[in-house]
Amino acid sequence: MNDLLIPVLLILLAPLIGGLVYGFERIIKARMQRRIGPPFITTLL
Amino acid sequence: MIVHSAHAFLGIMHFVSLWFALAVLLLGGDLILVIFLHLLSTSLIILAGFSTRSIFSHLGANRTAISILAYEPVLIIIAVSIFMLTGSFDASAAFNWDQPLLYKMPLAFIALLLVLPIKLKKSPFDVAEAHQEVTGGVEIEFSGIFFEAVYTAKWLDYVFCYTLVFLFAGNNILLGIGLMVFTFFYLNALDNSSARVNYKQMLRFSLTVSFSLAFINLLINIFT
Repeated sequence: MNDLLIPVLLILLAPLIGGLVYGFERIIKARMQRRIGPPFITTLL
Repeated sequence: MIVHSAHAFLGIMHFVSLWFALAVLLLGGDLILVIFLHLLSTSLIILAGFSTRSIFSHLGANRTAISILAYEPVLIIIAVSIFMLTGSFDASAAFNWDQPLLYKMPLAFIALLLVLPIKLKKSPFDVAEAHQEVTGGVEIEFSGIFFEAVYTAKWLDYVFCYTLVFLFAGNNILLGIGLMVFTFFYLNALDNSSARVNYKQMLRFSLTVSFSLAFINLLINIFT
């Protein structure tokens, strides 16, 4: 049961996790270009 | 809001099939099945691209099809390498292997790092959605909730690719997280510091460098 819990949670939350990774990526990319970048959560809104 | 119903349907099915591929991967299913489900998902978005009259959509679909030629052989070779090591095509065998696959498959990991920018459409291999040239490629004719599905599929692709990276850590969770963080910064640094190559250069690089690295690793795994 516990072995399945984490994969199932990851599957269900995958779009949210992917969106947060994408949001974080936009900030990191902006910082590399010496910009502040968009808010972390923008991609999900 | 939609170009035609089949176009919208293909966009939704692209999202659903990619989520399904990710589910099979995370549940430790067959890697070959995962790769082919992923291929199916990409094929659906290519079909959607070809189903419109937009020249940008057609160009994007063409380029996405070429991208498949660039990264799929490498993924297949990696799956076969994992089979040679663990004796199973199941992702769960890789997740539960007592030592990280990275130690036995360093060249395959480098090959994966070289094809990930193609899959995630990052510079220098972002020809498929090159915004300055084809304004997003296949996604250009989507709008509203259907565009959201295609856009969210892109996020699913992130999770899919980082899970593939995690696979190389075996049952070492800390190493897996480290590899994912490294890959994240590597992809962004590469995206920020490189100019786009054309699709011929991308294909040539992938089939000569990435594929060769993965294949050499496979041969090493077979003969040692």
